[in-house]
Amino acid sequence: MLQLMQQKEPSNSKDPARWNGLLLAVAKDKDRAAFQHLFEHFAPLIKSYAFKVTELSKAEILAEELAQETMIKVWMKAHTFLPDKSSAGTWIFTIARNTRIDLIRKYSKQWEASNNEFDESTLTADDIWPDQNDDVYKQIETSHIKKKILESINELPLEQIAVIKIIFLEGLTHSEAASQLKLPLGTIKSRVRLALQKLKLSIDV
Amino acid sequence: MTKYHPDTRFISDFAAGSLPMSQALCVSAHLHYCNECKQKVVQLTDLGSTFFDKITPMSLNSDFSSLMDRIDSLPKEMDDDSNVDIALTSNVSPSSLPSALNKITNNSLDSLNWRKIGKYFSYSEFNIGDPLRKTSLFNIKAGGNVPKHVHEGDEITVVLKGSFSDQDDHYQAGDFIVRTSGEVHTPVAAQDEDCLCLSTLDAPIKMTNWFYRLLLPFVRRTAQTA
Repeated sequence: MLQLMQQKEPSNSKDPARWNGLLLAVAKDKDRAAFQHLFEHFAPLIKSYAFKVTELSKAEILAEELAQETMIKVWMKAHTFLPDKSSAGTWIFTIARNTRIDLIRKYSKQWEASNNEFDESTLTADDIWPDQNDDVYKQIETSHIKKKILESINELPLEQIAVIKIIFLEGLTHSEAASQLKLPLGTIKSRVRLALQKLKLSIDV
Repeated sequence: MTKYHPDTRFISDFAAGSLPMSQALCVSAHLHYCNECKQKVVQLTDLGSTFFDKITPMSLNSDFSSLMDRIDSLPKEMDDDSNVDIALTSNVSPSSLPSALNKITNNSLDSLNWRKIGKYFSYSEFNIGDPLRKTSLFNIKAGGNVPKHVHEGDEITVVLKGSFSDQDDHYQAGDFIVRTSGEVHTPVAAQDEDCLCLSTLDAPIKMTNWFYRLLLPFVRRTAQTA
């Protein structure tokens, strides 16, 4: 009885190790039940992540499409996931990020105006943004980085969190963030730098 | 040894995925030579994914079974592992070009359409779907120089092979050099080797002809609002 209950609702559903296990099950056995758990947790996050790009008139379509396309890629590329290099959460995030880059390009007026076709020769986000770090870090180190981030993220002043969120979730560049918040570019830069210092990431500032 | 790196602004916009394609191409070319910046990108990607974990979920209009229907209807070869494997395992040796450039050049620099300016300088422009910037590879013959020019917009240059100097410094493979609008420079390649660089320019190089000078602001504005 106890076992059954544990299976149904693991003690800590936010446990990153659980997502790794589910993703590996998809990789090894094309396990649909495991994939459904991943889908139910991540697809709504991805949709929300896409929806942050609000200036697009097609935001709703794009968000739905992004959630689906990303999950399709997760299914197809699961076997390339390297658990000793990355965590499932970060890996899925990078796939969503790359898919968002390409979808925004596809939906942009500039792309439509340029009359280009997306074909095999088109440079895609995956060509430029790696979805997995190669030899730079072992997973033990990246989980250490994530731990450090989680430990100190609540100590960040709200104005720094706001800027980090705009840059990493809403897909605005530093300059775009400056004009949206009506702040000088220098202020945006220094808020990001201060936040990175506080998070003790080894970024030269 | 790489001396010039993209600043925190470029690195974080890159990790967040918001940097325009042409500038992102330059950052990724730099990462090919620079492990230090690669590590920064990894850390910042972790930061992004930490915020992603905390995002307020938004329910989908379609359910899991319709996604699986979509997956099951994909052509079999797309579901096949082999394609992805090739992309993932084709490790580029450190001496060769960054992989994105291999795709652009189709693995052969000679196949590009090179245009010559003067005796030493040639360039090949390519379209990567970023109409606001001009992106090209350029080559300076050993010992040769680039004709003196002024930039109207910001320019990023990444040295890919060989080295060049200007009035300020000497730049080598991997160096990521940002020149802002109005700066005048005359790069000279090293005596013993051709210098190949990737560059992206926010706005065209300033014309000396008055007619083009009058026309340019309009051209750019149209491109931005298009």
